[in-house]
Amino acid sequence: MKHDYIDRYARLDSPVHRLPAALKLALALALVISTVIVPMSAPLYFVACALFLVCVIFLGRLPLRFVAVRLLTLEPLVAGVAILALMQHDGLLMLIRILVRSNLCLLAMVLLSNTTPFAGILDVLRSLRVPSLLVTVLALMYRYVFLLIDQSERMSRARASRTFAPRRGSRWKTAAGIVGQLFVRSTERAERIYAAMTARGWR
Amino acid sequence: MNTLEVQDLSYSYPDGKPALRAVSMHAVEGECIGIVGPNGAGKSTLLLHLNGILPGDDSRQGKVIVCGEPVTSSNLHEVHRMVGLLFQDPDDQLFCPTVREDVAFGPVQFGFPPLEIDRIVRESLREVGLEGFESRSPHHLSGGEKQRVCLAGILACNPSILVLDEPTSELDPRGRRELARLIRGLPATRVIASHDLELVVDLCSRVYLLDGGEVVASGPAREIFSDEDLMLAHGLEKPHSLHHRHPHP
Repeated sequence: MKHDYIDRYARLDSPVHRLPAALKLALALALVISTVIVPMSAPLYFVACALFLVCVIFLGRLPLRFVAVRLLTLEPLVAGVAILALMQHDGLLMLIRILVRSNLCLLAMVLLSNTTPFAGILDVLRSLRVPSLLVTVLALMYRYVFLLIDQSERMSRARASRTFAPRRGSRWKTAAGIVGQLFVRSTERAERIYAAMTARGWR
Repeated sequence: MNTLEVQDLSYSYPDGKPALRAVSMHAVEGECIGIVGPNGAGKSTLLLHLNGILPGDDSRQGKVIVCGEPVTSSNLHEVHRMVGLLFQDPDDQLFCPTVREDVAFGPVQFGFPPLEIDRIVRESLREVGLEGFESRSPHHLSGGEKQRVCLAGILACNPSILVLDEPTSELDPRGRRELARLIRGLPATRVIASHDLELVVDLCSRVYLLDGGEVVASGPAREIFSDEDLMLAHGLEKPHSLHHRHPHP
């Protein structure tokens, strides 16, 4: 099983991929911060931003479909907040603002993670003197999130292969069981990883 | 000289269940010894003690002596460096985002200068036959490659003693053969715990048979493994290769 959909295209070769990771990280952060700060009365900024990101997609040779799907999978979170905004005074305007801003930010992050290998981003963080504990935690998260996805898929496949008469209630119950099992197994794995780290001099 | 010596080591799990009962064993310099026994015999627990991973516990009695130094809570760091431990599941051991960082993990912890670290990483990867794998991510490696990166990460620490827990359990026959060849060629003192008795008989001069946390037998591998009653009594079997040996060697 290969679960690289988080950063499937991070190792392509393109003008964008060849840029230094530090520059890309700085640009992405700057874009996110300014997108949040710049008032909506300056629509030109948002159009320019969108155009810039689209250029990055093309220069980076990222498939449009892939980027769209990644964006859509993150959309429910945005939509949740946006719909809440509808309840307020001037709701429609607020909804549009939230949608524009958050989609630009998300797109910037999707593009960053698919044009820059994660290890490169970590190197930048390290050279910026981000506390090493934080960088280590990020590195471990990146390393084991795939394993966790693999494991949960294997477990749900095993459950599915022994489920003969699916009922709605029992489905929730098995899902809860899988989550619990995953938690227990992850805790045990964490202990083994810590032992492996200590064995090679970690303190 | 005994590079590794264990004297009357006893240990109980946190829940009070005894895991090791007065285990004594030794390995001379450059020797390759095997630890065999059924599941739950205490093999993995014993191996963790050899590296000082379970130190200073109240429930621990006895001594582990590494290169003449008894393991205490004050010299753990040196012990970690002298004893390299290969874990059963390579995914537990490969915790860094790239192969390079993983192999460099030990040398970085031990404070080597960066240029030296680069050289060590290159040499360790060459030693296990994975040159050019530096920027690969562990998740995209095959089982055999993962296991060899793990070994490179340990060799990078230049240990005097190598402790291997089930090194072949996740390998296909080719991966297993290559790993066996690698282990055989290493100069360090080696301790291998495994159910892969063919591997043990192939690589190890002496074995310790562990069951219920006790050493029930020890001696030359062929001698112990040929005792069919003993093997069956402890959940093991006489390896096939010993059945088919020519009677007149």
